[in-house]
Amino acid sequence: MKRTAIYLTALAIVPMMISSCRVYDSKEYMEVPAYLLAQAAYKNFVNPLLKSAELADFFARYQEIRSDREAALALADTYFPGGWGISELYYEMAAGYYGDIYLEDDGSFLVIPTWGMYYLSCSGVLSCDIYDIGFSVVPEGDRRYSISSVTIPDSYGSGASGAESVISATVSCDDENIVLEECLIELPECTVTSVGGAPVTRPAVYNAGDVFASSSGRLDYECSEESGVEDSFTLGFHDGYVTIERGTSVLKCKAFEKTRTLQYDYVIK
Amino acid sequence: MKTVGLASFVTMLLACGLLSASAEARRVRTETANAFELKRHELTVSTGIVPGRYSFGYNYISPFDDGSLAGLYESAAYYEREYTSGVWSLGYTYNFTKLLAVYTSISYERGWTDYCRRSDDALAARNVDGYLSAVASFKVNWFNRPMVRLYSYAGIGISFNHYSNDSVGYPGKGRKYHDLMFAGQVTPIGVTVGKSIFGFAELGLGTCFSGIAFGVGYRF
Repeated sequence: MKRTAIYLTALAIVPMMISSCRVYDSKEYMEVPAYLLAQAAYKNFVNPLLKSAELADFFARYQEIRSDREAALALADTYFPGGWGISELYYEMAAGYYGDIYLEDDGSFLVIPTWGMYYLSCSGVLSCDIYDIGFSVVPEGDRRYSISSVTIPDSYGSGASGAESVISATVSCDDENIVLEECLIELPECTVTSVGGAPVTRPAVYNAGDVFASSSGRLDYECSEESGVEDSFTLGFHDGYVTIERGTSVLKCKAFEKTRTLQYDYVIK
Repeated sequence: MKTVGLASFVTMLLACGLLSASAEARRVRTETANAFELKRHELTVSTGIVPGRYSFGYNYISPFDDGSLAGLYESAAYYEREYTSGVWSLGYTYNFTKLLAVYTSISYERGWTDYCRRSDDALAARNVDGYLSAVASFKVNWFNRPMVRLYSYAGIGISFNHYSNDSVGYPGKGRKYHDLMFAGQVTPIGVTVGKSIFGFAELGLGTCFSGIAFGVGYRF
């Protein structure tokens, strides 16, 4: 009886030890570098564009009621829900979770994103962080804004230079959505451009909370010669997923997430 | 009457005497049965889940340039399989007293990652990270019964680390490196069951194992 118990224990332990030898296997996961590239570009450049427009939209509407502090704070609550509120709110400056905004003398805004943006690769630079880039946002009326990147003094004195990138966009806001009507994002690694007739649309924070993924629209990606990669594709946004499109080939993948950068298991079969 | 009383008294005395003698005999038998017999030497063989170095992370260097777009696209043409040998230990304990002991062990653990081409499953590169560790520990056996002992120990030592990282397309050709590193193990609780031949299990944290270890041993 005792011997049987010992043998059974050994029989249970040995296969457990053998099966635990392989701790990871990525063969079953399909790797799509285009998806990772698009995810990084969306997180580091497209999302800050949309958030900067949202911040500028709040600050523009705030200017009209700024003398009424109570109404101004109520407006701020709709743009910054869930505790991630405005930490500072003055007539010419506001500091929020996604960035700081300043009122310029010509009536435009300067937005400095809070979190440093990152170039997609680290080739040739000590750090991928870009601390010296901001957005000049010009209100064009009817809650429509034109955005262009500007190089600002880098208070950290380190990191990659934003001068290597060129970013311009036109964003409009309505009661429900933030719409990226046009954009051109030129990075050392690739170029991202809007697709005519398919603006990237995302629910506005005052309508649906802090939503990260866009729900419709398309963007064209083309890798640069400098990157050493020849690839071009169209990224399609859909409700709950994205598509990587090359000609007639369409690959469906999970929607981009803010807090977790998907590295594996993102292809929807 | 006097005789009956005397007889009763003597009978009572005898009965008490017999009862006490019986109780005393029972006490001696119990104490003998519960007496712990100290054996000076113990040899053990064990393994652990999870291996200690695995729990802290192996030092692999990716064969792809993770910081570049070209590296990202290149790595997509390969898949990874990561393995660990588990940790296997030989130990020797010298029991100074029932309470205090010194425990020494030699452990080996090895992890490796294979990078294989997706097109034909051919091995393209391999990273290897192995550790041969010697640890000396101070051990306290704080519960001792003939069949069961409970103990705790903590110790430090040294690990001989050997590792290599291949470039893609050159499996097995990566340069080999060696290094010496600190090793340590803290095991708050362990239990042995048995007398001369025993099984044991431990809970601990360190470079030998982090989690549960179990094995068999021999006392002499």
